[in-house]
Amino acid sequence: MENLPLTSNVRKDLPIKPSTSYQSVKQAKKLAARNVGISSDDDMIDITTSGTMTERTLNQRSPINLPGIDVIFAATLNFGSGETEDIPGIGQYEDFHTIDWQRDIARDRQRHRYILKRRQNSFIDLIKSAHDAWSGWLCVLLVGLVTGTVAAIIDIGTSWMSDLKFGICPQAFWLNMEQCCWSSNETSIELDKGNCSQWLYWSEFLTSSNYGTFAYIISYLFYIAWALLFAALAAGLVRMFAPYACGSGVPEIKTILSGFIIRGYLGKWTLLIKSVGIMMCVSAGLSLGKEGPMVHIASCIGNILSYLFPKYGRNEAKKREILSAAAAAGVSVAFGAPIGGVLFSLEEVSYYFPLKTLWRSFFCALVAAFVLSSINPFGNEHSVMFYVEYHRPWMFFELIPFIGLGIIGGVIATIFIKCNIRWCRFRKSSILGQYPVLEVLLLTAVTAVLSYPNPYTRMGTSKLIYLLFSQCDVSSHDGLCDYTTEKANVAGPGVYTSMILLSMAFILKLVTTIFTFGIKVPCGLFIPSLAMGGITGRIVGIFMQQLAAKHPHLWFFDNSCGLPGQEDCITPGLYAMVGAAAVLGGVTRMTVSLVVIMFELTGGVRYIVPLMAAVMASKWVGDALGKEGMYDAHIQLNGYPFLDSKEEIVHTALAADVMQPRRAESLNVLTQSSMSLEDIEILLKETEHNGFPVVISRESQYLVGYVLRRDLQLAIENAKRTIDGLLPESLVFFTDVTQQIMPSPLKLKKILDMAPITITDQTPMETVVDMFRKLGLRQTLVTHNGRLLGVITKKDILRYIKQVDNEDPSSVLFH
Amino acid sequence: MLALPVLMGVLSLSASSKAESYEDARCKCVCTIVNGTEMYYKLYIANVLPSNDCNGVSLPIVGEVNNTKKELCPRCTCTYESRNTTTMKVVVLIVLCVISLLVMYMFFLLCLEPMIRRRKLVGAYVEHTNEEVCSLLEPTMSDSGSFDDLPPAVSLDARSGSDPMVSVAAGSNVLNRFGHQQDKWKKQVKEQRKNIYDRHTILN
Repeated sequence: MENLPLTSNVRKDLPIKPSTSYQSVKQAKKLAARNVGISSDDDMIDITTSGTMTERTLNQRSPINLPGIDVIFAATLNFGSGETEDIPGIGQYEDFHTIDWQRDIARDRQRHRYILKRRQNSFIDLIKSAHDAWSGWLCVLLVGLVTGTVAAIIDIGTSWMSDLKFGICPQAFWLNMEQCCWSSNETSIELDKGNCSQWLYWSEFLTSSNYGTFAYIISYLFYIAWALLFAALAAGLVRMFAPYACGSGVPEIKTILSGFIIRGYLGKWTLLIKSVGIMMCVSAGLSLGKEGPMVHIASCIGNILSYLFPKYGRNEAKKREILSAAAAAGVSVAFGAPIGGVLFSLEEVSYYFPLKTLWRSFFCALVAAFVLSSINPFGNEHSVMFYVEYHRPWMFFELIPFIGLGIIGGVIATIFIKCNIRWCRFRKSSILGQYPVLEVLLLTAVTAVLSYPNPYTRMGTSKLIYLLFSQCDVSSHDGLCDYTTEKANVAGPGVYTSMILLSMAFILKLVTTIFTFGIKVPCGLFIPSLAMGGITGRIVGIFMQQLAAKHPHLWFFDNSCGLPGQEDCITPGLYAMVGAAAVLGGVTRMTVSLVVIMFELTGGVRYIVPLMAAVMASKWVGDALGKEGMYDAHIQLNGYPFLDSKEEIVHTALAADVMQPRRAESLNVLTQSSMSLEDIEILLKETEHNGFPVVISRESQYLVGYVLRRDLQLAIENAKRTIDGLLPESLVFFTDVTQQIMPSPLKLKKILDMAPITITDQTPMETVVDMFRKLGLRQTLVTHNGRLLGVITKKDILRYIKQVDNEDPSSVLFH
Repeated sequence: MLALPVLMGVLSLSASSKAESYEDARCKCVCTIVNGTEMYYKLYIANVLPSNDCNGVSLPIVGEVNNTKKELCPRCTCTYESRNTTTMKVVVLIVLCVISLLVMYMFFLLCLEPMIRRRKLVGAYVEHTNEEVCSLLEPTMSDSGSFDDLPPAVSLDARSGSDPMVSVAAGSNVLNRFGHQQDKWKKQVKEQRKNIYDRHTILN
């Protein structure tokens, strides 16, 4: 006993029952063995049993050959289940708990082995194994198809509803403003001035004129009224049917993919309400985008469709492979960028991303993008509203303003993140959090009132981004393209007016987005970030252009710009694009995926270097000024159990310092064959641990395995229902029982995890944290000289990391 | 809100005859017009030819030179563009239907259902004073259990919907089962609402 300094025996009041001869023989043997030192016999026994377990359980399962694929799947999923097949819910997890990747992957491997083994038996089994092999691909194909369709519906619905604020197409009400005037020869004339006769403005509806103060006021009022109606509907629907549909969803998806359960977060209602809600929120003119929620929507689709394939639907670790692919499809349809989507999934959201998942994500993103572009939601043969095509070359000296844009972007992003987090914290802790619907309505009203006077904020944000990105050509009649006729690069008065308006739009966007991100409606931050960056970039671009036009002989331009014949050497649209990428990169801290998304948006490979330079600069500035990106900051704020694989830990603690129980507390264990049902039920009632180590006996503390609380509860409940003659004093066995014992014992070997990950108490915490990150553990058992000392769970690790970071460890709420 | 679909219906009826003017393809032509020393661009939209391409589209290029209308000699490049108005129509109609259904269901749950429940309870019991105090939005657990004649879900796994005991009891009647599913769903939503709006544990 001197080897167990940290743990004394648990619950001395529990009598250890030397009831059976089998038991006492074994205990006596153990006691004898311990006197010699570390027991070798017991270990040998255990090793042999665990080694043959697989074989035995495989044989035990073979008698099941009922027809129907579901039955086979159901039977095989309860792996190692000779007599406990009907325990419902084994292998599932409780709400707000962390999954055990190792256990789930082992379950899947076993199921797979079983299918392979049966393949020779009959032709039907062969087909079943083939179906099993391709079900992953089939599932991501379906996910891609559905995601593309849903995205198209959202795109069409959003653009239609957004224009409903301004007017209606009376002859075909289902068309938006652009489509209403699509085949009209008047398209060349500026649309905002309302010269397309087919489109009916609300002011024309009432006053039969589109000009004048009265018409302006009518339009203003209609704009606000529609915005309020949409926002109220969205907030109401979210509150009524699916509260989980609010927010962007990316921080949560990130946490879920790292192995966390939030029940209902990826459900049917969330999907429906989020899709409908995002359409209405964007149409309400709030400063938010539909691109982030698209990731959530796609993940919902992935989750729902994975239930068609029990291989994925009933195994949380496998399901996350489908969810990773779905997230890729989400970005793919949001930006029309399939490769960008895959990289986004890899870089930003996914936790466990093997090559197989990479290929599946690629396929899924491809299918989704193909479906979306074949539906052609915008009627421009592209799957995004702000697709622009660029072929202008850029000069080498332009790298300096591009890097400057990156720095500005990083600063803007840091201000945005800091203010938004502060506001969200305030919302969380103050009375404001109790009026979610009212908050949405107020914010909508303020946004609408302030947005309408400025034409750049009045239009939809996607349209604004398109305007900023595109270069001036024949069809553009905006003030931004008001260049003087004699020299194509000298700005006219319209450009200066637009720049003032754009600066005001920037301030408005920044402020409203800070307050918007986090309100209780679906909202994403890609589009507002892109808009803020686009405005900054366009202003810098025009400034550079004017500098080149006025002073072409500066050394800076190296005589290659601004001189006659080189008028169009600086493209402000390109600056807008680089600025947008910089701000978005600063906000989300994406690098590779963002550059790829941006160049897929523009279809020009030659802008990779400017984009890379700006994104890198913005990331550096962002990292220097504030620790984390928006998504990580929100994960922190909510205290989700997310083990960030980016951070490094430099602290010299040992496993013994972090493990539970601490000194002077006792470890709650089960013994493999000496506890009665009553003892276990008392233990379950009096403790709240999510799992219990199983040891040979309390004296020796030699580890046998680990059993989860939920499994234990389910198994006991099930046994009470099914086994007759089960008394409170019946013994519970986690070993094989060969003899007949009265009262009939409860055999729970099936739910015992015989291969828990163990470490010794001297293991440094860096190693332990690494194991948790890389293997996706839920808990590990700490041993000393082969004897069980304690348990380290993911929660302990998260608390430890918080402590190292000098933060409050009690903010870790989840298991 | 319900007026919106009605308005749309009326509009669509009146529009159905004229909707043919919304073509699914067009030729977008950018013309470079040289007028003396001046050069400028003009954009034209033309209908697609029966051969379904834009080769040989005739454009009414008219410019004004010295206040006299005169045909100019433009260089035009035309691109063929297509869209699908039927898809847009179908999608917008679907969206409208979904939204109005959701809104109706919301009003049903908010207003009508508590009323129906209360009436039922009044018929069934004499003493229900403390139950009426309960939230109007959500029937409580005891509420639903009392008149649906269902055992309250005791299982740990109640939310997975596979509890054999419950489904056997409810299986006798499809309506009952639907009601039970609805109650279960409502309980989940209530839980979600509590997490987000009251406790502020997630999604802040």
